[in-house]
Amino acid sequence: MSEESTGDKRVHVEFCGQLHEQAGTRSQSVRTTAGTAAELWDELRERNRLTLDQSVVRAAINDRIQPWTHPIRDEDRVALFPPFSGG
Amino acid sequence: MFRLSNDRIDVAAVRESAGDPHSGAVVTFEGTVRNHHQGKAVLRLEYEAHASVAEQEGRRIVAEAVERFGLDRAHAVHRIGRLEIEDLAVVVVVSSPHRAEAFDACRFVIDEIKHRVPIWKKEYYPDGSSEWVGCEGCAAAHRHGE
Repeated sequence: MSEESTGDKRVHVEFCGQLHEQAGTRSQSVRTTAGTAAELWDELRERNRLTLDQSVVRAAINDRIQPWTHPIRDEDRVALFPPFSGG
Repeated sequence: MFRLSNDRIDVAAVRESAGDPHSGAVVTFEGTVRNHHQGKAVLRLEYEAHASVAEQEGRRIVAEAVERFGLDRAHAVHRIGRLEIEDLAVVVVVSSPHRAEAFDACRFVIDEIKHRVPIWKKEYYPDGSSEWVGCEGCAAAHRHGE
């Protein structure tokens, strides 16, 4: 797990599927000022040079898939899901 | 019931657990690993999942199928980890009083699993390359989003 530090909240991020290969890590503890999941995605996308657009990614916050408008709180667990391909 | 499995799926055991004296029909879907994808030879696969959300969403799908189609039982198991060609990737078994509902429900469950359960498939090819499947539209969406 890598650690990044700027911002007033700490969140635990899990990169799933191809995102963990792009990010070079499966999980990351980050400090952020993001107020919403969308703002957090923008930060993580830039910081980790992720190529996927928000429109094809989903976020699960504390094990529940949530809309991008969902607020981010201190110590949240945020999992990022590229398009599914099970079955 | 829905669960992820790191080990080989025992179809007979899943079938047995879906049996019910009230049922007149049992339909099973077995999804297997094929040796090609979009004209390209495939050597093997790897599946990974977000376990807690996958099991939660999978159980929700199964419960929806039972409610919507009036099933007696519905079970689904999805394999994760490394799979070889012809291995079973997913099994869905549903039982109901009559066959029409069982056929429809089985298809509903596998279709919903594909759309809603956080599982990702990576294909490995004979030339040594590999690729995550299911993101064919991502590059276009990315360009569009910029």
